[in-house]
Amino acid sequence: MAKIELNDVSYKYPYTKNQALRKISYNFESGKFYGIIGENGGGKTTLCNLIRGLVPHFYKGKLKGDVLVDGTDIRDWNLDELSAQIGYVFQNPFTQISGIKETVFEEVALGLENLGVPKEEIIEKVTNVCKLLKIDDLIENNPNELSGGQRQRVAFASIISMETEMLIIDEPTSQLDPEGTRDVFGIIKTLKESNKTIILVEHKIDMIAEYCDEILVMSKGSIAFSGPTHEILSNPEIMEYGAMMPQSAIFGHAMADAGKPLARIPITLSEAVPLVKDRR
Amino acid sequence: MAIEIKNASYAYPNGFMAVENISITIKEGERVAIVGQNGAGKTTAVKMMNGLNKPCAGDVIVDGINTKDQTTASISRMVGYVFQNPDDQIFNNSVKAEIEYMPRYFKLSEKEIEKRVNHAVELSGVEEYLDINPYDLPYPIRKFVAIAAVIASEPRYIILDEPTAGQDKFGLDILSSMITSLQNEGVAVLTITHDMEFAVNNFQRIVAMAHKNILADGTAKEIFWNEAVVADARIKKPQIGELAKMLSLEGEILFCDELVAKL
Amino acid sequence: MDSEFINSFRSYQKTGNFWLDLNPITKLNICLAFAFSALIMLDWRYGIPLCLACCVVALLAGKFKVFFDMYGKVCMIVILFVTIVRQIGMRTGNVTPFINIFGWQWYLESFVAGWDRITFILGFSGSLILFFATTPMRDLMYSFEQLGMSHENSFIMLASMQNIIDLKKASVTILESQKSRGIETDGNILVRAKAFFPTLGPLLLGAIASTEEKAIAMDARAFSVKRKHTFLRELAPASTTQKTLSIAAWVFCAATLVFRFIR
Repeated sequence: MAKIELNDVSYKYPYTKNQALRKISYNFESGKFYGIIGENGGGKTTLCNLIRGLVPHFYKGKLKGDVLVDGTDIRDWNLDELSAQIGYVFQNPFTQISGIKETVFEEVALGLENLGVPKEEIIEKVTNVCKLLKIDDLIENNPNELSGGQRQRVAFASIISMETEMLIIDEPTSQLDPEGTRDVFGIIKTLKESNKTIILVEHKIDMIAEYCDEILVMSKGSIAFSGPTHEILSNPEIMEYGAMMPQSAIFGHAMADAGKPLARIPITLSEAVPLVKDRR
Repeated sequence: MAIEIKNASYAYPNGFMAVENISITIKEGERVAIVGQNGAGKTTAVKMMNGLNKPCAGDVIVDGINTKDQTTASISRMVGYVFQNPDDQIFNNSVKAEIEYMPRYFKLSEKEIEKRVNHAVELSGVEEYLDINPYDLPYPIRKFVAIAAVIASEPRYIILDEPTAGQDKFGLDILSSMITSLQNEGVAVLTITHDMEFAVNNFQRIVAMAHKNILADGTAKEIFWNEAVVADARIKKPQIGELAKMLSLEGEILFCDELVAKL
Repeated sequence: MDSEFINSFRSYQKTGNFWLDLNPITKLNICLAFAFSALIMLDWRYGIPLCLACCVVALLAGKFKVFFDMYGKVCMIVILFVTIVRQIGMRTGNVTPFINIFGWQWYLESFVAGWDRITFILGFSGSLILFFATTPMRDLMYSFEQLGMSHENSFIMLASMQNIIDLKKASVTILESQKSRGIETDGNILVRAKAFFPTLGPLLLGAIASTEEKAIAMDARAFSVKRKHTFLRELAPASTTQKTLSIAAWVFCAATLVFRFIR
């Protein structure tokens, strides 16, 4: 069964003229890693908000069509219970820290406290997550005094510790430096190995190319393209919809245009190297 | 006409020395990208250029004026600085009002105001949002509003702090053409960026900073093919350069057409 | 990983200091009872020992610096203010000249009359400041939650404290950002008044926007899930001894009331 099923979904935020989502139909399967790319204002974040239940529970407005999470319509879900099912990490590393805990260890434990998990179990889970995400050296630090990159890692740990089956990650690195970005992608790699259902919105296309199973390109509230990662990212048409193309793919097309085509269009550097060597 | 930093150091009020004894000259109409790890002193250095940080040793001279002799605001009319977060700057209830704010503050004529607004709007591609409240716009568009508002002050030098963060392909294209137009008008454009692709494609001069100082200053090839600099400044070679390295190609390749020609 | 730190959560939080380890509610009871007793006695012979006692407890608790930073200021203001008000009020009757400051005659009697008032205020505020200087806010909120306060209220209290720190930081950045586009923020009243809106606007709008984001972030941490919460960090509930201490403190307070009436 599909984890999330969207059927002819349209949505308009309150007090706005344009539809934020237009007639979207898509099934997100359990255990797959999805990447969402495309122009800003094209509906990427709104789609996340919809799956997360923030639309229509938090942001009111007009929702049409069926949105099924685990077979139950989103309107029938209790938003509070949904948060125990779907984890959510977003851009701003500063607003995701609660501001009420004095150590990282307690910050990471907050969600589990709210869920009423027994204390011994909290300690065990938080310890494991901190080791897994390599923030064990930070556990005694004050989360309100960390750098953006460190805070974003703590935000990930806080959500991952809740062990939700599904994660929505909305532009986690757009406000981080290269080191913070690398650390966050290290976390995303770890998550991929855990076989959770993951939806990642991200502009850093080389990272998308590396980790995602399927890609959706959003434009003007609709899905312009969708399919397996390689097929989508090697298609130059996606740039007309505001999506970036991996440098390796741009290079692949430039080779073809120059009359020196590679066997196929690469989307990562490690894919490009043998293709070039084969040609020579 | 130039910004000259001469043997300048800056310490924060808590005593933390953020840049030590740096010297650099930015000439009129240049395009310079400053790269390096967080904490290397990039932001502290550019804040010296517009007078926000007055050096505790050495001098910063902007078009012949020592920044110590004037207020930050008056230096900033020559050296505009767009902060990383547009929300620190935007406060008007329409995009048009935000862009008009500085020309009106300077009490310019209506005709001049209109001219400057049109120019800023054209460069930053925000025509369709003029009557909208900036807070109803997505973050990357708000960033262009903040840039337009600084362009409308018509500074001689513009500093963009992380302009590509969160931008899509369209946003990057607007940035590229904006930078070219500004340079054609004789305006120098400086940027602090973590986006190496953006740096090599739009800036002729790259300054790598590390350890509170300038590590290297030169063309993209000089910086990104100097492995010691790349390692010490903790920057990444642009992807095409990395591919050329993986293929062990000669010629310090950084651009796609160079690589295609070589193969 | 530091297992000693992690293990500390397995038992009740302890510092090893008797006063600090008292349950916040016990501490609150004792401090309030003594504060009210100062109010009832209204006598310097009671007030001064109480002030000294507060200092001694703060010293023994190892929190003298935090306590005296606040208390010292309160003492100075109260002593100055009450003395001056009393001197102005004392004009007639049988008075003894004490000192003459630039033609302003001070009298001995008004000093004595002021002392009762001063020591009562200082005894009262000393007890309360002692409480807040030796009780972390989160411990107090934890205790209130145990008594049935909703965790929403406790969150709002604790988060507001952090918000104040964050807003301070934000206002510095906003001020710098506005200077960097050329808005003067230093100078005469008129110049500063003009900078008021550009700095306040982003601060308020930013606070509103981050409140919405924080609500979403907390929601993702199952904040509003209707279940009984657990507490990772726990304080020892008040023991019988501690409960007796609280009652004793209030009995003492009642005794001062009786004493005051018979006298």
